[in-house]
Amino acid sequence: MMNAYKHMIKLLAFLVGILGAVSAKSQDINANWFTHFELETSDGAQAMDREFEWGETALFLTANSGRWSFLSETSFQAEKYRDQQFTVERVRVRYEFNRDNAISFGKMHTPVNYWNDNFHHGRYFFPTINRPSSFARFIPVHEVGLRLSGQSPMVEGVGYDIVFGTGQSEGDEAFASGVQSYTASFSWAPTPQSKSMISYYRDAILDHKDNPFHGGNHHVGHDDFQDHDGAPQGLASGSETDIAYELVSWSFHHEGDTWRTLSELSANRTDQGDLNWAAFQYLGYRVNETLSAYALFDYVNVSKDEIHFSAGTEHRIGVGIEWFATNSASLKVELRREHKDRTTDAHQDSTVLEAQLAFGF
Amino acid sequence: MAKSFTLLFFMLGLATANSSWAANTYIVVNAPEGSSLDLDSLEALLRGQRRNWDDGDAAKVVLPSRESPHFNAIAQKLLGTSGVVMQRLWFRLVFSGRVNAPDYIDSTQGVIQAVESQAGAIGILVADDPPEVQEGLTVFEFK
Repeated sequence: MMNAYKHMIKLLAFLVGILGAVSAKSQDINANWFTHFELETSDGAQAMDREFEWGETALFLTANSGRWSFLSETSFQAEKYRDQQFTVERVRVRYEFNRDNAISFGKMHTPVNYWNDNFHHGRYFFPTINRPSSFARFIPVHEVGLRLSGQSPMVEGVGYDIVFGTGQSEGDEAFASGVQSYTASFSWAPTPQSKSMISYYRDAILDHKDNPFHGGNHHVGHDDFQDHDGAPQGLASGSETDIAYELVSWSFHHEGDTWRTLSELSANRTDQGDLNWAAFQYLGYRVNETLSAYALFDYVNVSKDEIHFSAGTEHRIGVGIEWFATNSASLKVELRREHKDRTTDAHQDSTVLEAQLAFGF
Repeated sequence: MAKSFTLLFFMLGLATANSSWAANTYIVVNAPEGSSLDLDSLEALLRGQRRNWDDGDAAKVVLPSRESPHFNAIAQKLLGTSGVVMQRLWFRLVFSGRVNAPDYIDSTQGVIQAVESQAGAIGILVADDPPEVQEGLTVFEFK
C-alpha cells in the first residue's frame, strides 16, 4: 500500500512539474473535467435490486508550446466504489519531429482499437453506457512506453502508431523488465467522419499464474476479472511461467448527421494456443440534435483450451437512448439482455435496465 | 409571368430566411514563415486531419462556437455535417491527444482577433466580403 502511494506521489509530482514547465511559455492550457452517475436494476440471481453508483471523475489537462505538448488524465472515485481513490490514467509528453511525425513518452491509451484510442475515462462521449466486454480482459487499456506516431504525407488520412511498452504485467513501472510489449497500429480515415484501424499487439505475461487476469483451465479458482487498471486482487505467489499474449484488432467508426456506427472485432491468443474472439457493434440513429436511439451487440468467446483466461462465452444485446439535456450533460438509458457462461462463474442470464447521467465541462 | 413572380418571391424569401446564404466562407491564416499555404493543407488543419505546420509547430485552430450564427454553415462547408457532429469529432481528436484543443469563438470579428493574436493560428469565418486583417496574415476564400 505504501508503495502504491509513493508511486502516486511520484507521478503527481511529475505531472505538476511537466505542466509547470510547459505552462511557463505555453500558448494555451486546457482543463476539462467529467463525471457520471449510474443507476442499474437487474433480475439476475446475484444482482442487487437496485444499484446506484457515483462513477469516475476525470480531470483532463492539455498544454502545448511549439513542438511540445502535454496531456494528462487523472481520475477520482470514492472509496466506497474503488480501492484506489486517485489514479493517473494518462500522463505523456509529445514532441513533433516535423509536420507529420511525432514521438511521445509516458502513460497512454494503447492504440489497439478505435474505442481505446478515442474515448477517455469520462463517459460523456461514450456511445454506450459501458465499454465493450473485451475491455475487462483482453484490451491492454494503458501502456507506459514510447510511441511513434505519424501520417502519410502522400495519402491524406493514412496514419501509423508504434508503441514500445512496459507491458501489462509491470503496470506503471516504466520499463521495469525492459520492453515487454509492442503495438503496431495503422489507420485510414477516407473522410474526417470515417476511420478504420487495424492493429497487432504482443506482450509477455510475466508469471502468468500469479497474474490477476488468470483463470485458465489448468488453474481454475481465480476469476480473470480485473479492474480497469488491472490491479492485483490479493493473489498468492506461485509459478514463474511467462507466456506470450497476442492480440489482433480491427475497428471501423463512422459518424454522419443521421447514422453513427462503431464496429470492434478482435482475436487473441496466449502461448500460441487457440484463438479467443470478441465483437462489439454499435448502431445509432440521430432523431434530432439532442436525441439518439441506438442498438448494441457485444460478444466474447474464450476457447475451452485456453490456459490463461477463463473459458466460456459472454454476450450482451440491447437498445438505448441518449439525450443531450444541455451542452454539458447527457442521459443514457439502456435495456440489455445479458448472458454469461464461464468456467469460473455460475451460468447467468439476466435482463438489465441501466441509466447513466454524465457531465462534461 | 405570374410564375416568374412566384419564383422571384420564393428566392427572395430563401435569401432573407438565412442571413449566411449569400455570404462567403474565408480562411484566415497566421502561419509561420515559409509554410506552404495550399488550400488542401489548410482544410486538413481545419478538419483535424493534420496537427502541424510544415516546420512541426502546432497549428492553433479557431472554429465557430455553438453560439455563432455560422456554427452549422461552417460545419456543413468544412465537413458536410452539422455543427454538433463537427464539435464531437474535434472533442474525440483532442481527448485522444492527436490534436490540440481549438478555440471556439462566437463572432466573425472574434475569429479574426483570435487568429491575429496567436502565432500559428488558422480560423474560418463567414462574411460577405474578404475580411480586413493585419499585415502578415493571409485570407483565402473557401469555395
